[in-house]
Amino acid sequence: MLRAVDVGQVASRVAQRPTGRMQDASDEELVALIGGGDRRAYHVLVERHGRRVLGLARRMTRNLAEAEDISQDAFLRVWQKAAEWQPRGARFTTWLYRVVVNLCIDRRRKPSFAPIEAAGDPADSRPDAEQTLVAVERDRHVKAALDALPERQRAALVLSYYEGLSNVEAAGALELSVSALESLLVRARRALRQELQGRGVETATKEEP
Amino acid sequence: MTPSTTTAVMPIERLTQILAAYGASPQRWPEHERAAAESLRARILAAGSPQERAMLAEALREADGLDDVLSGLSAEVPDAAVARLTAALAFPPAHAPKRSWTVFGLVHAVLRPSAAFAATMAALGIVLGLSVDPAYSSGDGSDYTVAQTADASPADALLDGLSLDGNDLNSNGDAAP
Repeated sequence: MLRAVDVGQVASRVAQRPTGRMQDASDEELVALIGGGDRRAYHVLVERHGRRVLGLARRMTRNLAEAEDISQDAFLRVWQKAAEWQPRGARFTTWLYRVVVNLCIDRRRKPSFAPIEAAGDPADSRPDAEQTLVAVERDRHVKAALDALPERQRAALVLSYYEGLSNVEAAGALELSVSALESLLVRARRALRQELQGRGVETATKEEP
Repeated sequence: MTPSTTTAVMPIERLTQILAAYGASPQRWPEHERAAAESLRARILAAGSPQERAMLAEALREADGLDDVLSGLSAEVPDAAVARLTAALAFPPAHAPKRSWTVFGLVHAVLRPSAAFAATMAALGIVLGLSVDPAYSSGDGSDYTVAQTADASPADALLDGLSLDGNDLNSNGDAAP
């Protein structure tokens, strides 16, 4: 009953906006509507965050097929748990990223998991592709080095560096304090640098600023 | 809560810590410390002591170098993958999303005594040789009763049988005190 009143209020608020479009609703409003079983709100949310969720899962797993499975699981959880979700000052995306990261970590712990993209792209043997080959080789090492990081360190790096989350958001997604996130990031970057140096990849700029 | 912007002079150790954690790009630095960190970086580069300059230069070289390596790694998500995801989620499961914990807690509070009563009555019924319809029993002692239907899966029954107002339990007749 309480939820029905909330959903009605949210639906009314969204409809009364100048555009009256579902696409203009905030994430939190969409989640409230989804909690009431609104499929249109669900589709808007999937369209809004689908690419980013796929990107995060792909960076975490380095396997597009796995990333697609994980993204589906994550959004199905949104559908199933929307009615239970309580913002408590947190953004919806923080919760969504937490779900994705946890699913990725769970998936990678399974023995059958294999990051098929780890093999890298096939080498291009054309003479004019030497520069491309160098870049491809370096990317291969970077991917392997990222893959060698402990799960939580990689998650922190992906959220902070690639996904552009603020330290507060990334800490929320990993259920850490900001200072703990910062320590994790320092360890991640240090470990990554050592791993790359072990593979002969230069990780410090040569010129002084 | 977002911390307020730090205006005090930042020690160089904090700046090097920020570089080690977040990299060389200020846009990734903690928002509330960004201005102070940028100010300190500029001051040291312009007029810092040789020791400060060396310390900052080393931290910047490492941070910038790793950023450069990381930035080269492309992870474009193919449009086809996004389309597949959207299509796969076009028809979420038919059942309604679960009710909120607030409502669940209300049901919990309302039904719990009755469920205990039902279990007691069921046990009494067995002792007295009375017939008890299993559809009215809470079975595993859960906090709500589940109405068994011929065409519903156990999961559906669990969701659909969850009464928000306790009518299901009351309709069972036997369980109502």
